[in-house]
Amino acid sequence: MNKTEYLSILDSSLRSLPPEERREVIEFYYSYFDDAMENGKTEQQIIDELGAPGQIVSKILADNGFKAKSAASQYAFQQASQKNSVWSGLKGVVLAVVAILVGLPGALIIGIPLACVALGLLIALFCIILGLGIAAVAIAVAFCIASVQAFIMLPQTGPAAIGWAIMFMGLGIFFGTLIYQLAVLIIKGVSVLSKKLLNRVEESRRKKAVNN
Amino acid sequence: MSNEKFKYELNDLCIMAILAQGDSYGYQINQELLEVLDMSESTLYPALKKLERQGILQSYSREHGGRLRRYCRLTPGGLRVLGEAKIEWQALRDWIDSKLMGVNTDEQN
Repeated sequence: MNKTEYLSILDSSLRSLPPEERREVIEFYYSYFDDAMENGKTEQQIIDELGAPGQIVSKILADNGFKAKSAASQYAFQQASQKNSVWSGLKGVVLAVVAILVGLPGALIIGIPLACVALGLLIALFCIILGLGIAAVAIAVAFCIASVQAFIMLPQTGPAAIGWAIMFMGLGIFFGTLIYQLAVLIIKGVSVLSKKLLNRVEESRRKKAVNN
Repeated sequence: MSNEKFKYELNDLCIMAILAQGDSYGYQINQELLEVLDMSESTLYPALKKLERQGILQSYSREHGGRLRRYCRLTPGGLRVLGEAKIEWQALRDWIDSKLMGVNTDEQN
């Protein structure tokens, strides 16, 4: 990590603060880097002296009445310390789209009921696919058993039944992975949405407190 | 003799003591703190901000090399708090020393 990354993690993690305070924090640490480098310290030494940005962010947000570990600071810190693969970036986009399409219009603009309807539809879709998946797996198992029996009894019908069994097994696996991916999407989408809602609630509550 | 318990964070006590010697700024304060304290668990800006919120220190900007540097000054109220902290610190220090030395220097009992 270098000075620019350090400062930009601080900056992006403190987005929920009022702009004046956020600026004050960044100017403070920017100044610190300048003074330290004037005294011959390297960026790495300075970062070691100051400590992890996540720690500073947690403390500042906690002092401002936010929960100690905000999703934003964790995310920003992870972004800087991990190498992002194209796949995780893509996943992020898909999750964001799902969350936006399902949650935000309903909950934030129109109201909670529409969000529930959307969520209900998604759950219904999930159940249909789950049902199909289970049915496919059940049929596959049944065919397997039947084909084994048939194979033992009648050599002619045996191989064809196995063919059917394999096909249904394939269908079962396909639906199974589809369900898994969808489940992951739903869970992540809901958690992203709920964190967004939580932040918005905290923001409006804090704004009211500051204005009083 | 005061029965007040020591209620300050060591960090805060040191910052107050540093500022009692004169106005200072972030980098300079931290260098002094680093002489004796392990700063890995504490964070500089939040600590200073907290003391400012409590009215113990006041901050002001002064230009240095084309940019603004944030200085801290101990307020009169902060000096009073430091005076109380000094008494409590001395009591704590004596108590610890006596335990460490294995000799009870307590005059009360």
